Amino acid sequence: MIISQMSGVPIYQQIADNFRTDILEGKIAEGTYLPSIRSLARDLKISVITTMKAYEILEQEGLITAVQGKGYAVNAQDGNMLREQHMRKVEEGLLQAIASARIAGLSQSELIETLKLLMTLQEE
Amino acid sequence: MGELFGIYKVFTPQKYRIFAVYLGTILMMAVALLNNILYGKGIGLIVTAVLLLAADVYLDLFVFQGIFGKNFGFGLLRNSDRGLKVIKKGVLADRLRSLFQHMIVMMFTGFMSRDYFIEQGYIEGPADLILMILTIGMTEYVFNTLILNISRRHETFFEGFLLDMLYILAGSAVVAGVGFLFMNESVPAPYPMLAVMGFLTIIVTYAMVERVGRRYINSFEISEKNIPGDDSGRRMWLFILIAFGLDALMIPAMYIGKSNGTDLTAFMVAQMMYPACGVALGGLLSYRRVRLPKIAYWTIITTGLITLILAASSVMLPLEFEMAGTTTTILYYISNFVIMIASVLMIVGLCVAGKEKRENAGFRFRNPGRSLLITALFIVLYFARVFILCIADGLINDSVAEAVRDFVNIFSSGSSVQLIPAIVINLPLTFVMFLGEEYGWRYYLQPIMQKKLGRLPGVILLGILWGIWHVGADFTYYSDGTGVQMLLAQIVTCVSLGIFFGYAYMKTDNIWVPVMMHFFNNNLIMFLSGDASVNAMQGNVVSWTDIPLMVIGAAVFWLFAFASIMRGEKECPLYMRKAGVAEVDTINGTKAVADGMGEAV
Amino acid sequence: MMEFNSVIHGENILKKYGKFRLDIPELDVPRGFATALIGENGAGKSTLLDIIAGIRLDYKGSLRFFDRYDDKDRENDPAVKNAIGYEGTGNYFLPMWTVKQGREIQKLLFDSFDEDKYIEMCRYLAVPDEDNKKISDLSDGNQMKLKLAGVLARDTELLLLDEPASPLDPLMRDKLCDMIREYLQSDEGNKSVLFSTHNIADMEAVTDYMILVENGRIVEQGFVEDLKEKYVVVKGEKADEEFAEKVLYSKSSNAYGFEGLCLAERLDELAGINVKVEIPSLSQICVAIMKQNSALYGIR
Repeated sequence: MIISQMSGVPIYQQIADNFRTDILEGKIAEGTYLPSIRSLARDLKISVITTMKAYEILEQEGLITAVQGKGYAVNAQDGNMLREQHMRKVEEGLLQAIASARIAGLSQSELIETLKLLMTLQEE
Repeated sequence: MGELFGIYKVFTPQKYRIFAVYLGTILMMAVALLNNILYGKGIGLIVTAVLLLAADVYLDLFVFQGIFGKNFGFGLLRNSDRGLKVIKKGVLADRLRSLFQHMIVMMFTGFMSRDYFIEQGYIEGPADLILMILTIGMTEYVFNTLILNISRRHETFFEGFLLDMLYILAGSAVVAGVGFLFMNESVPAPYPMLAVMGFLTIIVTYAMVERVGRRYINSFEISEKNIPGDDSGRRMWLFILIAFGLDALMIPAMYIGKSNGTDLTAFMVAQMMYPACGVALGGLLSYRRVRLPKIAYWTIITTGLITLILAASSVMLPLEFEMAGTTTTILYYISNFVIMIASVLMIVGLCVAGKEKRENAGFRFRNPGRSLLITALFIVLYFARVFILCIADGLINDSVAEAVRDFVNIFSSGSSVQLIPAIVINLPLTFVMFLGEEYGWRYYLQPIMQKKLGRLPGVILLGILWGIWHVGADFTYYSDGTGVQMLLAQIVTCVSLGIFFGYAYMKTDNIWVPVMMHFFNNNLIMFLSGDASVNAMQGNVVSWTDIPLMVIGAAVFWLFAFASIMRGEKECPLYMRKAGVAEVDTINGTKAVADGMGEAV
Repeated sequence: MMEFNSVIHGENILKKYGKFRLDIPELDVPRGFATALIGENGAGKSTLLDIIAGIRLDYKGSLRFFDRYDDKDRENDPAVKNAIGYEGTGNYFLPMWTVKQGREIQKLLFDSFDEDKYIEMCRYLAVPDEDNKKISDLSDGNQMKLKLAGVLARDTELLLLDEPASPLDPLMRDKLCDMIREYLQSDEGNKSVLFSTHNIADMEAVTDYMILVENGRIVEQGFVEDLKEKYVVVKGEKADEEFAEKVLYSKSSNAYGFEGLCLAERLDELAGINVKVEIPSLSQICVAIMKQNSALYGIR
């Protein structure tokens, strides 16, 4: 996990994002426990409250559940939800692309062209 | 319980402070006694009470509060329930200590005021005395308690106050009982007092040697170096404690001796040994890796101890006899022998020690030619001073010619000339005494003073200290009823001599030079008075008008304050060469200092 | 605001000290977290820590520890003091103790003192290996390391650390933060640390809860992440400075623009002007609040 203090994105957000990706991509299996709040804080050299907040976000998103006395367990992920999560990521990425395009003065059609080009390039 | 006991070692190193307090109390009592004698019973009593009170409050507040009383601090101990118990017991011990101390103080005050109150008709019977002591004790204790309880906040005020009141009652009962015992007029007051003091001194000494001593010794830093002018705290305090502390401790005994008409010369002998004892003890304790002339050092320490005991005993055991037309004590006579034996031992010890050890302890006879020359110069200056004084005296009395004749007569008078061989023979047999002072003042303290203040100011302050150090003798031995004037005269003399001795020591780097000068300074008096006994120095009456005269006479020495060697860097490089210590050159590593120093000296 | 259990709960704590007055109607230190007691020198941090630890007992008010014990228990029940590891100033070690004596005495004082762990800790903190040297002759930094090694070598539930970071160099401060985190995770959620500091930037990465003390009073407290939502840093153009001023806690401005802290809830009042909003750092929050109060009290 790479945490950047300078990125402007809150650290708890970065942690949540990382875990979310891993869970949604199936890297962390259902039912496994995430590292305890305080050991994660120790390993990442950040404060306990920050990791706690990250876990809370994940809990609110329904990705993990707090188990009394044991920590946070990863929930089962159904297909729809997985797709929904991925959709949200796609939207996020595209929004960023649009913002950059505006600064660069790209027109709508030019942006769509670029997207198509990139997709063909990647398929090859 | 066992492990709790183990924790008490937490406080062991603090014990030396506790005994320092007792020592302080005794010193204060000595000062109080002095006041009583100086200013008569009436004012003396008030001064005494104030002094004792001040001493007590000071000690309680600043010494003991530092150990047990602070409400904060001792975090580690207070964080542990066991540690807390230790602190609580410590507070209890502190209170017991306080009670004991107050008892002594009350007893002392009671004794001192007894006669006065009887004289004034305030007290007649034992009941009155008990009442008086109780009142004194109460007042003092209540005041003290008040202050203590304000600063000691971990208890409630009431709790502390109640405890203290109990102490007062118990303490006063004991004191009153003892006081009652001594109401019997057949027991002369000074003796029981002396007994109490002696008893206390024994306790203090025992405790210091047994407990404190060991800790103190263990805590000395091991150093590779032996630099004269080493002002490492412990060693300096040890020196001050011995040189000045013993000196002060003997003052009461000297007063008692004086009031009994005992010859006090034995004290003069002992006193001269204290400074060197301080240096020797410090040296033996601190520099483990430097080879020191142990025989010589132990000779100094033992001589100091024996002469001290002899002097103190001479008051209690005033066995007197006539010698060379003077009445003196047998114990003084014995201490003279001790000095002679010590001088011989010292010579043997130094010869056996070898060059290296002599070098390490600053005992080498350096620059012999220059040394002898400068010593001769001192003798010339000494007579020049006498001459100036004669002339000045003549000017005042309008008989300059007579004054000159008097001066010349000194040299032609038969008895004086006869004394010359005696003086010369005396040097190798009594030099230990003079080494006793000079080793402390010139060898040890001068470089420290100079390092701290600069060369000339250091020498001058040393002279002042040296003068003040004579205070006890000034009031009892040297003068009769003119103690203050004598003290002032003493300071003038010491500063003047200090300048020249300091100059000579810096020029020659040879401790034997000031030793010889000191010897001549003290012994040429006999030559001047033509009297071989110690009478010439004793019981002089010094008038205020003598002091300006002395300053004028000493001008021959003051001149040396302007010598070029008195200026320059604070640390006289000479001392460094002697220690054989390389000066550290921060860029090139170490380099020897000695280059060219030989010529410079 | 996040809910929490208190490891220390205090009520109406009052201590007068000449003109100084420590007055804390309510104090709560969350259990399982690292809490920073922040304030300038003389704000009353050390006094408060000393009161909590029972180093000084001359205070009014009541305290509750671990939800079970009150301050009388702390003095009478060894279990309480054994569970509290305190490190503070002012003759913490008696001045004449040597390093070795200090270690032996701690062994005697505390049952749970683990000598091996202590030695290991000293090595980890690079304390010079000078057993016979007096502790008071060591540098401030090394003395602090010994204190820290001492409290960490014990089995405690609560650490009270008085300015642990200030005498340490940056490398050691980093190690200190690691040690606090390690301590917190060694018994998930049951161990708590309360430390004081006047320089929060050094300890920001380990602070979960913050109590800002000024002139003997608590002026702000809360979980760091909550506070970072409560306040925002506002940056704007010079022209809008006057308009924005009314909502800003503290403001610094230059020729190009201004920057200041404001309550997130008052951000609406800035609608209409062009400002950039950022998440504040803990030190920014502290500094802004301190500046604000100084202005209130008329101190420069």
